[in-house]
Amino acid sequence: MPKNDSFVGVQYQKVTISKKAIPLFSGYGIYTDLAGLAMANVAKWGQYEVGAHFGLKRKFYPAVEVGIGQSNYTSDRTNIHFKTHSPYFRVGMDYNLNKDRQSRNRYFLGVRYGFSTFTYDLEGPSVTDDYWGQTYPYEIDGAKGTAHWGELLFGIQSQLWKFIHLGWTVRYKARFHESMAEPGHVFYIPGYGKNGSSSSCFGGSFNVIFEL
Amino acid sequence: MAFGLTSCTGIDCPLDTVVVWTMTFYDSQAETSMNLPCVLTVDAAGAGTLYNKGTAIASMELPMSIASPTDTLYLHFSADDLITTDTLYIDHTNFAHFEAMDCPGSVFHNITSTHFTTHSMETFPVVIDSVSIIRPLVDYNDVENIRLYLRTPDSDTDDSNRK
Repeated sequence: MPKNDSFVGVQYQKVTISKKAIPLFSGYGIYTDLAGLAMANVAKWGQYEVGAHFGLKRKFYPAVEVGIGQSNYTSDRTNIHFKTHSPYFRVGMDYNLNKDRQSRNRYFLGVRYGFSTFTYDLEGPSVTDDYWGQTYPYEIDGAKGTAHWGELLFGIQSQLWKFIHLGWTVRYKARFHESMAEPGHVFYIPGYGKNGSSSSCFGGSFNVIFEL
Repeated sequence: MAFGLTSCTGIDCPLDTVVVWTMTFYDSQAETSMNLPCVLTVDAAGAGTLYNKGTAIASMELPMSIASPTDTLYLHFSADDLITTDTLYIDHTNFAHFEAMDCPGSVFHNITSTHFTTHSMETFPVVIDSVSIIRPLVDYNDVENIRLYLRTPDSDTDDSNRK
């Protein structure tokens, strides 16, 4: 008798666990920034923003964001009043860091290019000059400016219920270029945030996303 | 998109919101910086004395009017018993400057042109030869804005020696 009789008749079957194939276009979503919305109504500045993205193999998510940035703020210290209400645009892409591409939850890194062309008003107490005994009205209406900037972001998005998701992002923003009106650096650049002589800042968002 | 976590800038307000422009003195022949060989007092039409009795200085800082298009400056040159006055006109534009919301507003200027009167060497031995605008923008930077070329007997001698 063959030595391995006991194995006769045993058959091995190759078992494969099939993964559900992920299509190239793997869903799309629209979202709005609730933090910017709240800030627009209670803080020194804020924005009304909507965005849209779509998935590529649930790995890459090209995104477009548009909004209106606004500020209507008066400094208690100097009584200078700044006012703007202007549009901005961003375009970029997120990369899903979640290895489980079947999951509806993801955390991601992303980049954005932002652009805004804006007008603003500036008003404050008249400037007085003791040497010459003169005053100069501190009032600028309709000053114009443009700005370009880039953003690196980290974000999380989780499914809340069916197609409703919540998420947040933290963003490092670097201003590439600012064309200034005569008064100098503008206080706030729509879509970018508080501005000044420094060319970078941090920002973030808290998003509600409708994703299919 | 911006939470309250923005931390973009930490702006220090200028200590002094008065904007001044700087005038330097140059030898017209050697085209080198020189110290004033006489006493110079600067009065302004409508403002009184802006600089009193400057001696042996290479430059002076003067406030610019914030609402006028032209500053009319009377330059009183004096030495011993001699005194003479020339007039320097500085044409400029004025514009509001914004530094930060918590910094008081100020006015910057752009110098557009200059012209001046002069006198003969016999009247007083220091004569304005020409005026150059070096940096039209007058802001918080205390740098040379206008260069006043002066002719003196020494520079004339140097010039004749060269010839």
